Amino acid sequence: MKNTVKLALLWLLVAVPLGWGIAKSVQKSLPLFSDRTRASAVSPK
Amino acid sequence: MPQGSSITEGNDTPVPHFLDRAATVAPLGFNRWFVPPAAIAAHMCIGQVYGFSVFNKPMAAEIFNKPLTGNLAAEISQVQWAYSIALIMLGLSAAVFGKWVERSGPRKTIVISWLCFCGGLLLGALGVRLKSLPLVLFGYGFVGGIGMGLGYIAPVSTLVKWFPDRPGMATGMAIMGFGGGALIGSPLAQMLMDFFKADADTGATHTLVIMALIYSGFMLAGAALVRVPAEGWTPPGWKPSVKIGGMISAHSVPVDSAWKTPQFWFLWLVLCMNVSAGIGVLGRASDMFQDMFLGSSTDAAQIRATAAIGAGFAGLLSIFNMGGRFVWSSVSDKIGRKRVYGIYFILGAVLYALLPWAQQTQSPVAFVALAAVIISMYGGGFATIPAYLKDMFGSYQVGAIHGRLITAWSMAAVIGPLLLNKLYASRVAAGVPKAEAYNGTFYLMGGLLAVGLVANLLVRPVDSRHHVK
Repeated sequence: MKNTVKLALLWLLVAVPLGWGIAKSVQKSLPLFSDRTRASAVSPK
Repeated sequence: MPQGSSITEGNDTPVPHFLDRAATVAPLGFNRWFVPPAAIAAHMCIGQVYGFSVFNKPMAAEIFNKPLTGNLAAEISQVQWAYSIALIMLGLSAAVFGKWVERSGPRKTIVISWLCFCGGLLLGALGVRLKSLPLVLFGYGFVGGIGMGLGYIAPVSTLVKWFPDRPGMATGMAIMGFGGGALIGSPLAQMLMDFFKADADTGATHTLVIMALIYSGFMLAGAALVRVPAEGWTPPGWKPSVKIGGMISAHSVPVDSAWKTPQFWFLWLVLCMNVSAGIGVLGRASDMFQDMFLGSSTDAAQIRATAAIGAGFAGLLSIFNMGGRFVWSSVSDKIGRKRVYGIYFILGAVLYALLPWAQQTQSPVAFVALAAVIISMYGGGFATIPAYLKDMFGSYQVGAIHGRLITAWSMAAVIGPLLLNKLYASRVAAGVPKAEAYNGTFYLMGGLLAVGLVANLLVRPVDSRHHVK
């Protein structure tokens, strides 16, 4: 039981920063799905 | 006294030093799932190098005493050498110190990697404070780069030995951590610089110091927790399934013999071509998307919005680069390393050939989807290679062999962007509109993948005369 908790905490130690990094990247990529990008698809240059 | 043992008890039993390999041998019943997070902890710190560009402007402004809002293009190009030197040193140190890493074990290597990497960050901070570019290049680039190389190969051999049943997944997890390092390092640095900036101080110095402290915690935790399996250990109930003459060898090849085999050089070419094809696109992702789908504008607000979309594209690719490392390397455990590289090269070349179509039909959604899959396979190529090496050369010195193979990455980091940028520039100079100028480069990248495919097809089992007797 003690080992399982230790293992879970260890995985959390790496999962939390990685999850934070992914969330930040998703947030950064949101403008990609904005109206401006979609508009470029319907009005080709 | 065995090598590395420093203290001898009264009964002559050598007590290994905490950092020695012998001190990291796991006790009976140790849960092997403790090891991947220890490896990931180290890798996600040194992966910060991919997010170095966030320091370009602040460092250039501080070192050269210029306003942050001014034109810093020339200064940035000098600061960027820190990144290039770091990557060169990563490859060189992995190649040179691979055998030492195998001998010393993962704990000592991660500690030395921590000393170099975090020491490099501190020297970089001092360089910014003293306005000394050479100190930044030496600290972050040279010293830090050595730390990155050591940290990159430190857990590979250990993970392969802990997970002989799933070596692709195991090493894929660690190398995914390296990819994730950029996703963490870049926003963390930005957040810290925003917090510390004041007047002419961009906050870069404080940021580097704080990052060194944070990364120290993770790297030292990784070093303390990492364990190697006892000699001859195998997972309970697991039996190696080796076909005679198949692509998974039951024998081991020492590093000094391995690099003289054609298999090593075919795999070197496999990695080099896979990385070359992806790294150029990844490096120019933001500009590429803006040129191909958003056009140019003179309106400041429009330029900001366009840049945000381009950065969003680069951010999305980074996620696929990271995810692909775990997913594809895990797939390789099921279908085999040669087949998975076959997919990277054939599917990759087909997708590259489709990118011009996405541009011509002005379909950004299709472009994003195609590029995301391509970059996932770029990441997968990094993550699958240690398991491919283990299949060919056994687990005996796979970390050291991997270290030497990483020189292919250093080479690709030069030729990939060079080919893409040169061809793009020549097309623009020839009068091709910017939006269409990338199309030729995509066919070139597909061609590189075709070369990789041939090299992959030529990989055969290693001749028995190279096996460890």
